Formats: sequence, structure tokens, C-alpha cells
Amino acid sequence: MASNKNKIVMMKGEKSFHYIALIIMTLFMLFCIVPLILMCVVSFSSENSLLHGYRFIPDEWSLDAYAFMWAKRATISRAYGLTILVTAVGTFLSLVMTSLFAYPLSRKDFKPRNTIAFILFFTMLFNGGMTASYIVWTRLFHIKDTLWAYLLPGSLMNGMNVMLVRNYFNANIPYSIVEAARIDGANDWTIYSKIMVPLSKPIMTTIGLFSALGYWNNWSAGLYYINNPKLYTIQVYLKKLMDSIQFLKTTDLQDEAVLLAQRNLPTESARMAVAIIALIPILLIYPFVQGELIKGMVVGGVKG
Amino acid sequence: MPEIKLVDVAMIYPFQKVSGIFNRKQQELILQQQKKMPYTSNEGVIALQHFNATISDGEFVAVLGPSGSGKSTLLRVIAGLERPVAGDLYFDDRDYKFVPAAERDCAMVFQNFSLYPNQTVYKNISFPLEVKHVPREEIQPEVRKIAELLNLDTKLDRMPQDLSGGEKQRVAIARALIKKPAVLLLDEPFSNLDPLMRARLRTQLKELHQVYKTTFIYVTHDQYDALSLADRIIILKDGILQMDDTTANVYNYPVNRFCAEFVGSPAMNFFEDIPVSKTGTITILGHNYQLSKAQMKKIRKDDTVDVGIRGYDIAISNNGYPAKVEYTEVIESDLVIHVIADEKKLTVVEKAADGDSLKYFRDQDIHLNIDTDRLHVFDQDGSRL
Repeated sequence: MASNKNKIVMMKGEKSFHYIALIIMTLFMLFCIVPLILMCVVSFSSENSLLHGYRFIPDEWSLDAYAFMWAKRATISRAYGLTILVTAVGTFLSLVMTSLFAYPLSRKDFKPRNTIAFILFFTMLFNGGMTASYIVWTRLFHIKDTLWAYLLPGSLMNGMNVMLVRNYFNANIPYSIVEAARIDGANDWTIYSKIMVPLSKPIMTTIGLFSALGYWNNWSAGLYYINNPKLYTIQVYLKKLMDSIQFLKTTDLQDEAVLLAQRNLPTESARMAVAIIALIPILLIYPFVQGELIKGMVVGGVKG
Repeated sequence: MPEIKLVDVAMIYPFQKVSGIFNRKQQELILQQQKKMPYTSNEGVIALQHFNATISDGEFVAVLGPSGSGKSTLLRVIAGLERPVAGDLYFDDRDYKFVPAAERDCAMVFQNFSLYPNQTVYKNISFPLEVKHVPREEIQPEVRKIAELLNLDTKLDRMPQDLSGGEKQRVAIARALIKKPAVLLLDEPFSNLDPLMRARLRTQLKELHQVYKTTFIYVTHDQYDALSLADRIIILKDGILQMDDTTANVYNYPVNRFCAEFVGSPAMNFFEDIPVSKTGTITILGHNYQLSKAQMKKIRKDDTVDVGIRGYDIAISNNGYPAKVEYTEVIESDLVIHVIADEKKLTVVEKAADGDSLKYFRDQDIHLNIDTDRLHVFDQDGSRL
């Protein structure tokens, strides 16, 4: 009886809205989770069973792909290490750059803030394009075949992230705290490092995760600027592997692809296995930052 | 410790800019409201104009005025958070107009506490010393000492969000006082607190002023705070200085009608447009009052005057001007009797005693006597005669 008393009474329309919302969300969840399951299943399938397409229940299970990974462990672990390094350094630099850019834009007493915000916004919409960027990065900054190629182009600072952090500073940190700190004798660096950044954990986690995902999944930088296989990150390695398989699958070499499968050399399952391995760290980190991430996304979007 | 001198200070806040596609109507509404403010220029709202004052070392000055009168702006100008558009600001004859806030020897307590939410009470209090790079072993005893003084010694490890409003404000006061500032600026520090806590902190603040002997500038719209704490009161209205005098003078000799109405609770009773006889006599509630020669000189021929009298200076007696009781209120130790005399509503104040709420009843016939020596006479411009 007690439980009935506490039951929330819903109106008819409300009930149907709840059911429709539930169905839509379940569908979206399936759209996200099904490819992941398929990817996992394929990585454990034998190459022969994949000749006629991907299946959720393969004809034959196999660990060949992971055995292949193990055989290639030197290359893969180097790529993995590089990816971790690039992601860690890149995310840190990106957070520092983004918050340092956002802080003056949030200060009411910084007069050119609107002009700078306009320039930032303008470059979010219009930029020099791929060719011009490539020439600048390679000819002017000489980043080709260096780790800077992963760190600098594109990912280091994102205009959208700057806007999000600026809005967070404006909407969630009372300006009187900044004024109190100024009167207490703090300079801008102290205000930024001891007050603004520690108070912005949710938005920092959010853009940190976005940025980490960006660095982790960045294969294009490797494709454009890296020729040295020793500097391949896991995503670049995966991309190269996929390209090689695609190459073998071209018409002229179709027989060779079948031949490879017959020789039990994993191709399709291997690329799924690499993708699974590449995904593991993100899957491990996500549950820990989920709470802050949601907070950051909600509050960062509020206009200050 | 310095003497603060403000010379012809003016402050203008720019008008709200209407831009963008969203919230345009709201922005336009704010702009219209700003343009309707009593004093505006082409650039914006004039928050402070032709402000002159000198605040001596160690004084406790209260800045009193209604909302939007420029009190907080004045404090922000002194603190260095705003730069005046005109006029000068001196600390001991040194021009401080362009000195940044961090370099002024000021501390400020904000209405909304403005504690650092990510730091413990200890860290909040020690922050001003830490940014000055004072050695840790020197900071600790200072923090303990001031925490003890403000009864915060058991709360030092707590986070600000775990404190009550009164405790938060005490932390804010401790943070302000720890750097031993030459000037402590208090911007309506007690307005977010309950009456009991206000009364406690008021006493504590007065004690702190005596201990530290620092200049306190206290902004408030609560006249009770101002009258009970300050040595001197500055009254502002629409950014213009109305009166700058001792607490007693502000109460007893208000320079204009605004000050007379604004200071004192219950508000002063006013009799408008009272004719002055040729001999300089005015009649209030059947009592004659003779204007002095000096007062007569200040009014033009056929001018009328406005006359004010506080409720404390009206007595209920057996003989006098007839009036009727409307209702009564007991406010602290006072019995406030609302009466109607000649269709005019007046308040009369008596000392409250037990059972006083039953002493007067609605429509009771009473008689009023006034102390004519306590009348305040103002001309038609509102200036005291």
C-alpha cells in the first residue's frame, strides 16, 4: 500500500510521451551498441567465415586476429605508446591553450575581448583549407615526420571549446570572486591558476575528454604528415592496415585475398581487433569522467 | 594609514548594447530602463557625479542610500575595481586613480561573501598572505589568531559550502582583515543574513573596528546598520552626495527632505505646502512655530514650506489637536501608533510597555501635542531652512 501511495501519478499524454521517448532512446542505444558488438564478434571470427560478409554468430570462432596482433606486438605496442603520449601531451596542451584563451575573453575589463572573440568565431567558420594549412605546417613549421604533426594541426585549440570554456567562466564563476581575488592582491596568473581552473572541473573534463578522443582517433594527421612507420600511432596503423587490405581486395588481386584467407592470415578480423584494442582505453576512462562530462556539457552550453 | 580624498569624482556606466538576434527585446527593454534613469548622458548612466568627500584615518563611515544611488560604485572606485571617468582619488595626497586594485592597501567584504569555493576556510583566510608570498610559518599564527577572534577556529578545515551564512560572512571578514588593510570596504555585508546573525555580526564588526583601528567604509541601504555602527554617514541619492555628517547630525539636522525621509524609522511625518504668515509663523496641528530671521531670508514671498516631525516628537495627551487612532504596532521597544489628523496619516511613537498593544484601539479619539523645537522646515526645493 505504501508503495502505491508514493507512486507518481502520470497523465495519459505524459505516459505515452514516456513510452515514445523510451522507444526512441532504445533505438538510438541499439544504433550505437550493435556496431560495437559486431566489431567485437568479427574480431573473434575466423577469416573464412567472413568471406561472405559479417555475421553476429560466425560459422567459426577464432583467435587468429589476436594472435596476429601478438605477432605484431612490437609495432602495435610502439604505436600504442605513441598514441598514449600524443593523447596525454596533446590533451594537456589543448586544455592549457583553451583555458588560457578563454580566461581573458571572460574578463569584463579586457576591452578587445569582443574583437578577439569575433576573430576566433570567424576562423571557426572560414579557414585557409587543406592545401594552405599543409604548406604552412610543412614549409614554415617543418612538422613533417615529427610528433608535432599529431599535436599541432587542428587539434591543439578548437574555437568551439574556447567558447564553451568562456561561457562556463561567465555563467558559473561569479565575477565578484575574481574581483575579491584582485583586491586580495592576486595577479591574473594566480586568479587563472588558483581560482578559475580549479572551479571549472566539469567543463575542463568535458573538453579534455573531447580533446583526448580527438587525439586518440586522429588518423588524418598521420596520413598527411607522417611517412616514417616508426611514428605511426595506433589509428594511423589501423588506417594503413585497412588500406592494405582494401588494396588486396581490388579486382586484380581478389584471388590473392582469398588466398590470404585460405592461408589463415587474418585481414578483416585483424582490423576489427586493432579497432577493439584502440577502443579499450576510452572505454576504461569514460565511466570515471561521465558525471563531470554531463555537468560540463549542460553548464558549458549556457550563455553567460 | 591613509586619509582618502575624493575630488569631484564622476562615474558613468555605458548603456547596454543591443546586438545579436536573440534576446533583442530583453536587451532593448533594459536599454529603455537605463535611459529612464534620473541622470544619463550620451555615453550612459551617471552613477556618481561631482562627489567630494574626505575620509580620515581610522574612521567608521557608512554610505547610505536607496538602491541605485551609487553607493557600491563609490566603494568600487575606492577599491580600484572601477576607474572614475572624471575627478581624482587621493590616498594621503598620492594620486590613486590609476593604481590597480591589487596594489591599493584595501580589502573588501562582498554582499554575496565571494569566498573561493574550491578552498578550505583556512586557505580562504590565508589567500591574501599567500599571494604576497608571506612564509607559511608566518601565515599560520596569523590565520589562527584572526580565526579565534571571529570564532572560526573550529571551522578551518571546512569548505565554504559547508558553512552557514553568518560563518561565511565571518570568513570573508577574516580574509579581508588578515592582510591588515589600511581601508576595509564593506559592501552590504549583512544583507543576506537573518536578523539575529546581523545583530551579532554588527557587534562583532564594531569590536573589530576598535581592535584594528582601520578605516571602515560600510555601504548599506539599512539605516539601522548605518546609525548604530558609523561615526559618520554619507547619504547618496541618484549618484549625488546629499549629506556628509556625523550620525547625530544626520538624524537631528537633515540637510534636505530626502535625508529627513530616508533616515529614521518610522519615517518622518511630513506636512506639505504649509503657508507662512507675514510675520513668519507657521501652524502645525494647532501649534504655532515662528521661523527665525535667517529662515525667513531663505524663502521667497508667498512661498509655502514643507514641515517634518518625527513620531518620537509627537505626544498623545488629554489636550491638544484631535486625531483618531488607525492601528498600532509594537516594534522592538517602541509602540508605533498610526493616527489620522485632518485626513492626514501620521505615526506617533511611544515607549512600549506590557499590554500596550491594547492601550489604543481603532477609531479612538486622542489628542496630539508636538514639540515645536523639533520641527524640521524645508523650502519648496527640499532644502532645510
